[in-house]
Amino acid sequence: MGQVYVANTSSVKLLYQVNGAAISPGWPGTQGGPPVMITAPLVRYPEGGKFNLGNNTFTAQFTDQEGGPYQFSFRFDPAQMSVDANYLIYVFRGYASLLNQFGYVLQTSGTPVPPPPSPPLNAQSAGPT
Amino acid sequence: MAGKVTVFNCFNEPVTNLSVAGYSAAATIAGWADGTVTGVPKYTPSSTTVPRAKYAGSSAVFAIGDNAVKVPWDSFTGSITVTVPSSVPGTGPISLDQDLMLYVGANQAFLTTQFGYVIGTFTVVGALGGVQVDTEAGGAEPLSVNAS
Repeated sequence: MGQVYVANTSSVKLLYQVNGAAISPGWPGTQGGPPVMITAPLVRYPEGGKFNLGNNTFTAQFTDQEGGPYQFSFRFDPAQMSVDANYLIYVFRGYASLLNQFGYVLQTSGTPVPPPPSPPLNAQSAGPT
Repeated sequence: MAGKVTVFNCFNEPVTNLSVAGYSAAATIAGWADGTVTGVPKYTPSSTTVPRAKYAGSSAVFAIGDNAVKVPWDSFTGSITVTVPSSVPGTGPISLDQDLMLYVGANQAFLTTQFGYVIGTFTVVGALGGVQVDTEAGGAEPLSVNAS
């Protein structure tokens, strides 16, 4: 049975769910080092907390994030992907990439969230007028 | 002081002579971890750091604007144009002093902040000794995009 390695690329703690069930109570962020990995099994038939062949819903809640978690969909095509192989998901804000174990991006899901904009050059601080 | 870009090698093969803007940035970057070292999960990418700068100079730096990056793996050499946004207030969200992360896969690369915000996604163009190869095909498995 294969595994899906989920990589938290941020310094923020994340909460993951796969197909409606948590795969960890929470996972720490990286502190400037490599991404922090957690694994979830890849199985043949749908099961909460595990990835399965076919369609999968995956959510990632950044613990500093307002609103609901980012939701992603990934399809493990049984005609092209093996339940015995390992895969990786790199998680970003609003965006996630599914890679095979050799580092090829197979699918992406979501829309990247850019950093918050900086204030304009002529911005004035709020205060009494 | 200007920040740095940590370049992660997400491919299984080592990188030999990474170059940025035509200058050598690292002699080697190992491939991802093979899981034999305690405390380092398998597939954890290896990395090197490259300084940031306002302008390109006579050494390997990531300057504001487009940066030509060459990633020579054992199988092929990946070429990426990595665009670092301006840091002018009101036009760019990224301070020159901010550290960034560049995750380099075999066919795509992602430039992010430490907080998980995505600054840019870039195609990795592969070449075998000057002959371009189709890294988009992802080996035996096709690349597809699922919008959520």
